[in-house]
Amino acid sequence: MSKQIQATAAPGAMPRRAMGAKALRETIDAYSMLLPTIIGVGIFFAVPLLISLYLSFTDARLFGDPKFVGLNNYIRALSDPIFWRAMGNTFVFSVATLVLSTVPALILALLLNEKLFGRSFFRVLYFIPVVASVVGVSLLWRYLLNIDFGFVNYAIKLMGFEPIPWLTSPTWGLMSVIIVFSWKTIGYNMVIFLAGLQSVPRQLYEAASLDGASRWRQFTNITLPMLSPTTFFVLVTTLINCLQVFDVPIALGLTRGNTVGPADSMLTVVPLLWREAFIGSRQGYASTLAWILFLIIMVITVVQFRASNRWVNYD
Amino acid sequence: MVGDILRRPWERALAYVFLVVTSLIMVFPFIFMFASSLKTSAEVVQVPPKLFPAVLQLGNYVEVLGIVPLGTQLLNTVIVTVFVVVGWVLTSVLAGYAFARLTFPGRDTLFSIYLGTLMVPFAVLIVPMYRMMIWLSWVDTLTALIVPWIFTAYGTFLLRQFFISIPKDLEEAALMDGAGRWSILFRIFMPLARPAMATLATFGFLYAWNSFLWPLIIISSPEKKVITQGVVDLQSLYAARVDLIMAGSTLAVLPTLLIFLLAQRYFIEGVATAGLAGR
Repeated sequence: MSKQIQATAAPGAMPRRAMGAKALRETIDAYSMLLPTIIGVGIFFAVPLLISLYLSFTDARLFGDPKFVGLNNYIRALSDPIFWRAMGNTFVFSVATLVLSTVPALILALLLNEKLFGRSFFRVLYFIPVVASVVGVSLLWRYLLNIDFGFVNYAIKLMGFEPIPWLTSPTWGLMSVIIVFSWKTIGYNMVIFLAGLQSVPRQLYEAASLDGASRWRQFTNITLPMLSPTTFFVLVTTLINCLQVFDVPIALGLTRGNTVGPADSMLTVVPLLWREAFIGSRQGYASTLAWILFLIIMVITVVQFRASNRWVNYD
Repeated sequence: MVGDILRRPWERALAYVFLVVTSLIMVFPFIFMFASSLKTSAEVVQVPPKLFPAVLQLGNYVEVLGIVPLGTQLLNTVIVTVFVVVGWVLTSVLAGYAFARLTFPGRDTLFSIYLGTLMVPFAVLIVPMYRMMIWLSWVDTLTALIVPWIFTAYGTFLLRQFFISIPKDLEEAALMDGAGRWSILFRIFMPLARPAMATLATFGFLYAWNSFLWPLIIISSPEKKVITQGVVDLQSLYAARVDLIMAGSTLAVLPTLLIFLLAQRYFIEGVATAGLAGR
């Protein structure tokens, strides 16, 4: 009997019974270390996630029992002009911020990749807006963009132009949000681009130089393709952050009448859902909006990943 | 050097000018904010704007701490931030170690699911979490600002990455000597993980100190609010006193700037590695 056991066990392995006990011990240790996280994530993430899905199909309000209403909330959202205003604003804001916070970030990263004096110093300076509190920064910009005494309009007047009603006109409201959020994000993207640039092997450039390639050719044929995974990461993460923006529109634009920006010009999806849930008390409808946002983020991310097969090269 | 974009001196000079101008755009608003916080309420809305105050109004800071009440709110923010950061580090070290160094059924699936939670936008959770806080009687308490948020998939990922890179022999030797895994974790691995814990702590600090949406939802008593709410209230209650609003904003922003300057390495490296890991 024991000869059979030894024949089936792998050479040098411990006898089966002792192996079982050791693995069991390891499993117990592992799960006891994971217990706080499992319990915490279970209670404070998994349960709310499911409740949220359920609520999105009800007419839940702050008090009283929620009543099941099926897809009504979803249909209502799709026919609500304010919902579409928020969607439109979010879309415009995201595209503009994407451009304004990635192109300058790339340019700065390219420059900081050169051997310039004081480059770590500059890197720190560009990162400062990133770490400062969004709310503190937004209130600061509220002051800088003030139509009468703001510094920005003062500079504009010096250059001979008319002062711009940044925060008081529906046409300029969203632009202000774009400026503040892009300003705050450039440093972050720049650091990521810089890391990506620094991982491009020098030999590629040497070979290209020997072949007589111009700097522009080297940029388009070596730098950009080698940087494409980093660029992809920057685009995906920046877009996801843009779709969920909340602090800047609220701090810049929440009015006494609870509009976000003049005539809701700064209203994006998350402020809308916050307003519906906690000022309008329509928690069922707000949950629906949240799930619509979730779906949109998933779809856009999947599309980006699919598209990446065409233009991103991993080595 | 090969691969450089800037070769001729005038190109380097031009690049320098561009770098200086853009860094001024990044930094000047903060200088202006700080300088304005020391002006009188008349100076701060003066046209044309002056950069520096005639006389430093240090009294603004004393005044602003008393109203709203910003001083108490600053304290609340410190308390919440400390607890969240400690919670982040502890839960991430435990979970990161388990996922990195232990073998057990369900390990990889569990880890993937945990990472998957990062895909869910926070907005989806706010309504049910609010209802849960009502049910737990945690509405308007600092507990609600701390307890649900000490678990972090990002932190677990970070610590796991770090622990994976440590050679196996360290553990094996200790196990041979009969040490239990918990003591191996606390006596050997945790001290080694200081850089990763520092990086996590700095990100946790930023996250907790700057959080706004959740406190806005759950805290309504002024003396329990945090500083992000405080400065927004300052803006709506004292709109004419821009000098005080700037002082309040400086108080909200200064701690993060200080921590950043002290721990820059951790921040910037943390961000850069995230970008490279995303490839």
